[in-house]
Amino acid sequence: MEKQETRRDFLKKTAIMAGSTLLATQLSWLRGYAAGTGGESDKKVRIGIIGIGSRGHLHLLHLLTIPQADIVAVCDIYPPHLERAKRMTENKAKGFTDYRKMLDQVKDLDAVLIATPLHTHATITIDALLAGKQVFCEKSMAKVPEDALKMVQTALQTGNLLQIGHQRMFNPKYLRAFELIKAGQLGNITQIRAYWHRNSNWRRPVPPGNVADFADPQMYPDMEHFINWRLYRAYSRGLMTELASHQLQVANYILGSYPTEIMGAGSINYWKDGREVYDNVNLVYAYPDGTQVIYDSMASNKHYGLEEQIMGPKGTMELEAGRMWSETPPSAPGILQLINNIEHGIFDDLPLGGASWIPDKPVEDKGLPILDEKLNDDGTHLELEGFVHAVQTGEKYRDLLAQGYYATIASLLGWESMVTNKVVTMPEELVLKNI
Amino acid sequence: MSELFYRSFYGMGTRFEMVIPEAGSKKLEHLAQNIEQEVLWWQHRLSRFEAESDISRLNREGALHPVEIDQKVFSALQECDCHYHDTGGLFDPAILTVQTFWKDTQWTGDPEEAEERAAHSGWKKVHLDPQHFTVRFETPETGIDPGAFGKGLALREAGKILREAGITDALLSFGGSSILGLGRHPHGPHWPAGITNIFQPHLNVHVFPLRDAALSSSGASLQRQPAGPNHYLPVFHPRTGLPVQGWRTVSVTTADPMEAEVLSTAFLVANGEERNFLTEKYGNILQAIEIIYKKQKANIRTFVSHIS
Ligand SMILES: NC(=O)c1ccc[n+]([C@@H]2O[C@H](COP(=O)([O-])OP(=O)(O)OC[C@H]3O[C@@H](n4cnc5c(N)ncnc54)[C@H](O)[C@@H]3O)[C@@H](O)[C@H]2O)c1
Repeated sequence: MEKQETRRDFLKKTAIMAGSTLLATQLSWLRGYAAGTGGESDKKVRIGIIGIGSRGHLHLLHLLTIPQADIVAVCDIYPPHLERAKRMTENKAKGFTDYRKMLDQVKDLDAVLIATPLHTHATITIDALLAGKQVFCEKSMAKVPEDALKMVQTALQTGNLLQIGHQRMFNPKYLRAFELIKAGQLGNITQIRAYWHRNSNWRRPVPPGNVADFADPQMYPDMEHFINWRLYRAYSRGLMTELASHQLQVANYILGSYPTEIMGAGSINYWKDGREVYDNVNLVYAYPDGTQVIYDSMASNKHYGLEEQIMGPKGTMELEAGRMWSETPPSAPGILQLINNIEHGIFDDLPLGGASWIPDKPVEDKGLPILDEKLNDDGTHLELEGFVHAVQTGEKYRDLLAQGYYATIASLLGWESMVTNKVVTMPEELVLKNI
Repeated sequence: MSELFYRSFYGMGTRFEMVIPEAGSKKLEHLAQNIEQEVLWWQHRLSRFEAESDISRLNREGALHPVEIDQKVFSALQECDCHYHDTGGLFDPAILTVQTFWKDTQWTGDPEEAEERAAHSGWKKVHLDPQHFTVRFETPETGIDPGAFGKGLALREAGKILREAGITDALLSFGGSSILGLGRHPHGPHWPAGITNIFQPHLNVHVFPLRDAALSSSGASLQRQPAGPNHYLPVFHPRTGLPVQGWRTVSVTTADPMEAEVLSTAFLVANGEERNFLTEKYGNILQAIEIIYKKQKANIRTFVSHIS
């Protein structure tokens, strides 16, 4: 099965990293993989999934292919989703509509995976941690910074695992890029530009039904709010928490810090359809070393798509495309041989010349691939394997939690800057003291 | 260990590399910067892919009115004019529309159609006015492709910069197809510049001993790249308008990089008689060879060899 090969592929592709200092000093969540240890224990991890909509369903499908994972419970307030999830597990998983009941009633539940709308992440995560569960929660962590901080603190207090769904940190293409960047391939990073452009209203079709039948009508006035929660301020911070957080996470990781000052401007300039979150966001994130991350996301043009562009005096990387460029061209093989010969006092024939093509169009420099092979997984499967592995081995991945936390904080402070029209400074009380 | 200075940069759609067998110094650093600026200056003036270059302007407006261009670029075109005449029209950098016609249309292979195309374009339709530094095209089908001489020009200028600064030994390479060897290799009497087998790029088919000489190579039917209905862009004979046949490359060494460039193109399109004509006309050719590939095997034919 394709999915089950991912782990082996991953091992193969990160073999280059096995001895790397990056792995030894950071990336704690990969050490088990690189060493090829752990995760083979017989004891299966008993998992409950909370929120089995679009993302949760995908996670469920992945987990079903991971032999060490046992989906023993599924929970969703929306009956069609709950039914679908139970069906997928061939009714082996017990269904719940209230996650608290699931936490209370399922015997020996080791871990939960949370993929509910943003505004519910904090409460559910904290309840699960306090109930002694290891937790995987989708990004972003919370709708307000204080809740994200509380989630981290609860994880630390309880000593339980809290892993946030930033799959790029498990994506071999990204890991290879991080390795090359740390090795100085681009020089010191002097700018990062990232963007996520789509041309769609970002709406999902609203099925018929009465929201009061399954959810708190105080929370969701109608089906529209329940289904399209990402467009309303009561539940989400729109493009910032749903899209930008991934790319801000990558930027934070590469710059080895979190942003200290943020300025942004956003508006609804195209989709004036009753939504409450911006359909275009534009921000500058300033980091302590003087580097800026320039970020934007929009919903009315998709020409430029999605990218993180990492720039330094020696070169450039485009992480989504998985390509890199040097500011100076790579040496021709014959010239390399010449250099070597001169240095070693050798005089010998050199393969220097030949007819090259007549450029019929400007030679498009496609750069070099960051990773030679293509992998089907974007890191989602691997992050779940990583989660299961951590639950089995008792690892905590605190550095990964810090990544999730600062990505959320960066997204939320960006939001704050846009709604207040002010430059926002990272508040001291949001800086993690003990990770 | 012997010391050396190495620099590379992107220019004219390829990579420029220089090796100077001397320890790196501020002076060399500075010279390298000057060379890069010079090469990029020519690129910005000549490139067909930069809308504001002199050549792009000329190609757009040359058939409408006399277009005034930079004086240095004008001199370069005058030099092309001389070579056009000296090669009996075999070097013709103004058959751009013959190329684009090939590229953009479903050419039937009809030789009459090709000749008709060629008749309407080419250097014979280019008129230079040295008093006003203007250029005019007689037909709208005329267009200049500096691909066949630009690198030679830039290489010559780069060599000049080094010589004027007292550098006697250096090897400069423009993507391998245009090479200039100043002086000699630090551990031998010349720069041993091999021409590689296109099917086995690590093997030399022939080695030119470059000493204060330039080497230029041109190839036919090698330029496989997506380009309209005919998926490769060959080299054309300027008079017949027909693509040059066969898997062949020509390499020429002479003292001047521009001349080497002109001659490698001219020899490539020339027939036997025309080659004799070229050899007589250009008495200063050091060596000229042709490599013919048949079933991936490289066969060499030498037309000129004044080097033992
Ligand atoms: N990492 C990624 O690339 C990625 C991609 C997509 C979504 N996500 C994240 O996943 C989360 C879910 O997004 P989605 O697109 O799947 O949303 P969705 O609306 O499709 O699914 C949410 C599900 O949660 C259920 N739910 C709501 N409140 C609940 C509660 N209190 N208890 C149990 N179930 C509840 C809903 O009924 C629904 O089935 C979001 O945080 C989103 O940012 C991450």
